[in-house]
Amino acid sequence: MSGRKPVFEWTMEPGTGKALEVRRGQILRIEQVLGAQCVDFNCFNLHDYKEFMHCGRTRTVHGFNPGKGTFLWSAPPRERAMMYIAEDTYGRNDVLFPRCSAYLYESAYGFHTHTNCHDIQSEAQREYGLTPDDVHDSFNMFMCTEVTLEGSATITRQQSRSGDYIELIALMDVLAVPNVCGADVMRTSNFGLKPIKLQIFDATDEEMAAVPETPTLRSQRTPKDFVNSKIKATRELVQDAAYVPKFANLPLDETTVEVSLDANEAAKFEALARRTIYGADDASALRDIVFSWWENRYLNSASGAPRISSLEP
Amino acid sequence: MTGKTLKLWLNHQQRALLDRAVADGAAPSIEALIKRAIAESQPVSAGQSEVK
Repeated sequence: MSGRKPVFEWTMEPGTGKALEVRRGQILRIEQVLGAQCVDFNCFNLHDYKEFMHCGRTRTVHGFNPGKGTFLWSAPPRERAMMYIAEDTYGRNDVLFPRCSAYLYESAYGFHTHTNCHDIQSEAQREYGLTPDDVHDSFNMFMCTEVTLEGSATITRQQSRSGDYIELIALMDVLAVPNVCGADVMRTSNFGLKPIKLQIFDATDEEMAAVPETPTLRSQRTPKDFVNSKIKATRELVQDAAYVPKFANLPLDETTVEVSLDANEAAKFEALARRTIYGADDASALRDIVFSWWENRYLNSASGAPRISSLEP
Repeated sequence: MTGKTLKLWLNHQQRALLDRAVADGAAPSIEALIKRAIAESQPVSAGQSEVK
């Protein structure tokens, strides 16, 4: 939106990152200065650092390339939408690759010390008392990746330009930590390191109203719901002698449903039964048919559930 | 082909999901729901992705 005034501005120089408090209802804009620079990103609930953006959850809901109109989700059991991608002018991001690390540059390139996203992120968020173990997999902005049909993932060069930007609306108070990806010897940022501009704006009522609603569910648990909500203060793991398992929904009682099929129905069942998987096991083949039908009819990816490719409109 | 009788074993979570579909009007009974699932499903065609 033109004409709005940033409440904060910062330029991240190559090799650096910045921890930023972004309050609910504010927008973090991350902008290319020269272009072709990957930005690694994660965020924490500002009031509980144990809740953080989870690439796996985000990837499951939105795929490998989350962009405009998608959310950054926190890890289970919180599973809340932390930020909303309101704008993404380049349109290529990644939640498949992990952050690059010192190990990578030593093992593959022979550097004992080299700029890398893990250590940059760690140093940036140290300003808020976090440790290197508190760095999590990153939302890789402006990073182009591909997955082959054989299942391997590759990084490709990118074509973001000066002025390309991503805008994230905070849906809770967060500590946002972007960093300039340290990969100057690979194609992630076209073999270079460039600065990145950061700005924070107050979102307008219209911008907040444009954020799609996400459901609030009982299963989105917070520490008040945990059997053990204390953050462990020691490194050694010691068995709790008083531990009694409390797994949910046990015992898993079974019931049997009998269904009689006429000749036509039996023939259709036979055509549907996945014999290569279930063999002569009619019961398992039938259960697959019934629940596959249910998925196609009822599963709603908008709820945050995994998208099913065969989902009917 | 002649008709046949099939058994569907369901744990209580699976049963609850199907019972809810029945309650929502998808079929008058769970037996009818199973028949509907069979009737409305399409066989996997050659070349369609399947778990291996």
